[in-house]
Amino acid sequence: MSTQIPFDIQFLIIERLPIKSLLRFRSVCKAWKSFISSSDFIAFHHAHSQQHLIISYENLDDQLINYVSLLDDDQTAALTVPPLVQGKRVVNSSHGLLCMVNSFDRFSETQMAVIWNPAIKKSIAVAVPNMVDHQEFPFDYVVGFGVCPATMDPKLLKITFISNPLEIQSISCIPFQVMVFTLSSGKWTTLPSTTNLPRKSIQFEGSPTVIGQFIYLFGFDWRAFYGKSRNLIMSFDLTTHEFREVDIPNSLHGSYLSVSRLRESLVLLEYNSNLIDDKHVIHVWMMDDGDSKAFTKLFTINPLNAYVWGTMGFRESGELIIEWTHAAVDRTSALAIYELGLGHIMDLGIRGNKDSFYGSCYMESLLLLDHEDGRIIRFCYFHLSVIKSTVIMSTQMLPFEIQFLIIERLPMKSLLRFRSVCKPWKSFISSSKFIAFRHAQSQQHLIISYKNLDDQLQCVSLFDDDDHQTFVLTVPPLVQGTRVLDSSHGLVCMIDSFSLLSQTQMAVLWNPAIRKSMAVAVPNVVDPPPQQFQFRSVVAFGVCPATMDPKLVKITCVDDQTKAASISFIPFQVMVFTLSSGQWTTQSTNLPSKSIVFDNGCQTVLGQFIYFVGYDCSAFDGELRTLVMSFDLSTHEFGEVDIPNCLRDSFMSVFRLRESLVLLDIGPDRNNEKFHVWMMMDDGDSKGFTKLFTIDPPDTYVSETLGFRESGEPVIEIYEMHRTSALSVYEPGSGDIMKLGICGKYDSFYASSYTESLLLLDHEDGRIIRC
Amino acid sequence: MSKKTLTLMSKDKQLFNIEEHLAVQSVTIRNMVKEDGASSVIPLPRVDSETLALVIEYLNRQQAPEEDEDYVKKFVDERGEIPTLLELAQAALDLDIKKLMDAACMKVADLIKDFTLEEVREALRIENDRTPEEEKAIRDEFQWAF
Repeated sequence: MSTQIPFDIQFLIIERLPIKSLLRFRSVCKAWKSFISSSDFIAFHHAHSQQHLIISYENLDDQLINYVSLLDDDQTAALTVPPLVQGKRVVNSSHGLLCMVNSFDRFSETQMAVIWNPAIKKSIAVAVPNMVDHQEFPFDYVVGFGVCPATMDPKLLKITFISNPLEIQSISCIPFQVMVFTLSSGKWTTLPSTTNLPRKSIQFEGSPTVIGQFIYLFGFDWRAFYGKSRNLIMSFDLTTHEFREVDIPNSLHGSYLSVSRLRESLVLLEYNSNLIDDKHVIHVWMMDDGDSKAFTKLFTINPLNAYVWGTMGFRESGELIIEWTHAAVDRTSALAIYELGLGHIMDLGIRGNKDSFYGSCYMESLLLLDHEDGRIIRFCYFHLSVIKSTVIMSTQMLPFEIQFLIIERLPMKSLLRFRSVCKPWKSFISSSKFIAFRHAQSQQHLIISYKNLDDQLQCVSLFDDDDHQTFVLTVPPLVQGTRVLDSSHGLVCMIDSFSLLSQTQMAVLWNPAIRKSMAVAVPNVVDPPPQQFQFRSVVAFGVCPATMDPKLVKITCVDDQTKAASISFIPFQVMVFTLSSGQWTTQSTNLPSKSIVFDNGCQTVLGQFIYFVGYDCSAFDGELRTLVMSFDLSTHEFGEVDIPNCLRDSFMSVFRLRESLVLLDIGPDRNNEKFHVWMMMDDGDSKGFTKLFTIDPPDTYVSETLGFRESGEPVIEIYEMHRTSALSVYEPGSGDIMKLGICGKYDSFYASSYTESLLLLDHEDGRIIRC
Repeated sequence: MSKKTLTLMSKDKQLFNIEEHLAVQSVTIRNMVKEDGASSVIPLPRVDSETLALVIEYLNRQQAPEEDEDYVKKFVDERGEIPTLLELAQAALDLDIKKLMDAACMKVADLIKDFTLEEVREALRIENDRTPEEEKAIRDEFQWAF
């Protein structure tokens, strides 16, 4: 075989192939397959394909729905209609996907929305949650569809509105007003009522249109006037899920409008009834793109001897496909091309029931390539059960909103019990949104573990108020033999001390508020002696705030700094455990330098970062350079925090004080008894550290600083005598020390601030996850 | 210059007068006034006259801002019946009077926090949709909280 044809050329050829060949040629070789399936290629291909117009209508003979696809050159393309699509009408299209829905009986059935790619002949059905009893309540909804251009994720939008304007006053909120389905998650979610949802006085009508990242919808707003609505166009941003009203000329607020797309611009069709012969005159407005998004009137559709009932869409040439009849009373409509200049109608010879025509333009695309054809996504029963109790108008029922407002104010213990009140309460209390909310409302405690004089583990919680109240926590069996490592989102991570040679180290995730705990074995993958002395590891803990997933990080570093240069790489240097997966994974990229030695027990989690203290021994002079590293719980990336140069040769610990990072400067001598406290100041752009105060009580041996209270006072361990210590609070202003009446073994005190939360609610108590 | 007065109409068609500058503590009323200019009567179709009387008493309070928190607490404490508080919370939510809504819900939460499940359901008119088995499963999980 002669030399291979360069990939560039191969790809240039692929780019010019029709879609059918593309589908077949994916099997040519791996490179072709991945090229054709890549999102870049899919986007490129879509941008270069021809526009089709697809129309669904009811056949005159059997009333079944027929489909026709028109190419821009007047040809009718053949369409294979998959079983899922049959019986469904066109809603709109985006990125080569069509959204189709069935007309259905609101009282009994579920509506199905089908996402269909006619070019590659794949379709997926998604059940539209029907969670309101339409028999009892005046609600209706519209469905829209669009592919988010940023993520290429197909999304369905469902907006529920009040169908009878007279009832708007008496309904305080629309339950599940806006729901969004994303194909990537396979789930519907309800947008929270705190986001800018459409006003409850808006009634939506007609088919939506997608342009770029926006779905445009037409609505009547009944808020301002009695008996007369203000008509408007709303946009829904597929990326941010935000609604906005589109500025339209004032004269249009009184007209019935429909939205359409002409090339890449938004077009409004303004329907004006001519009262004499009941004929619609349609004015066509196009949005000017540029700085001023104003609308310009393009032309008016008012053909002689024809009644126009609807528009199916524009061809790229600007011609319009319309549904029309000869006389106002005709029940049979025909499809035609309307030629703008002359006002002529060119009939296409397709007849169907009046008002049954729906159309949308689409361009061929390869989206859904990797999806299973014919899949049906149903929604879980959980949603249904909720709605039965969301009966907001009944005089008997207390509105759900009020129930939730009360639940939000209940103490933790009542929350745990009241999950059995009814199903909606259980799902509300267990929802991640509520768990996050509840955690944000909770008061800060300081949890302290220590060994009492009988060598027994004790855990106490210190309230963050003026009384310095402490109470003893019940220590679950798993927690025995461990100590506090850190805490995040109401979970306390406890870790046992262990000997490298014999045991496995255990990290215990403990939620003291709901009294659940689980243990996770920390993999000990370092070789047996004599290698063992070269490495040691630190374990840190944090809950990722974005996903609420508890994570453990284990970093292995070279123990003996003098040997760092001779070791080429550290095996399993960074391992991350996520509770959602129940597994440890080894990270292969973005590792900290092997010349950094991490200090055990010197880490703290703040927001999405875990901060570590490390000492870099790569300098030529052999001096250690102190640094603070961060680990991002979302992206698993390491970073370095800028610290003042004067701290570079000090031993250090990290803490958190409220929502700020605090450094404890021990000085160049580890046995120093004087600690300087520095706090990270976040002044917008510049993040600098400021020295707050020095912990230096007279005639006292502070053996350890354990943590900070919200007020800023450090909690410290003070050596007393006979290897015992006392827990105390240091008051920076006066330098006074207040003992809290808790004594334990010297050097056995560990602490972390924590706030109550409901995390781990759905986890089995006492579970042990082994490697 | 005389102060402008608004008239509020309850569900049972009772009329209440209140000075506009006091009434606009309710965000809902403030928006209505802003939009409609001077509408003569504002209908509140979900608030009965007893509750509306309470709301108006609250809106008419003459308190220094620093005493306000205590006043709201005392105000709901004195009307410690759960049904009344629920009506009040509902009205405060509809009218968007945050402090009153907050206090009324907080008071209800305080009152019910040690209730049995049956008592909670009765107080908040909730239907029990759990089988005894399901209830037991939840109870067993957090035995210590019951």
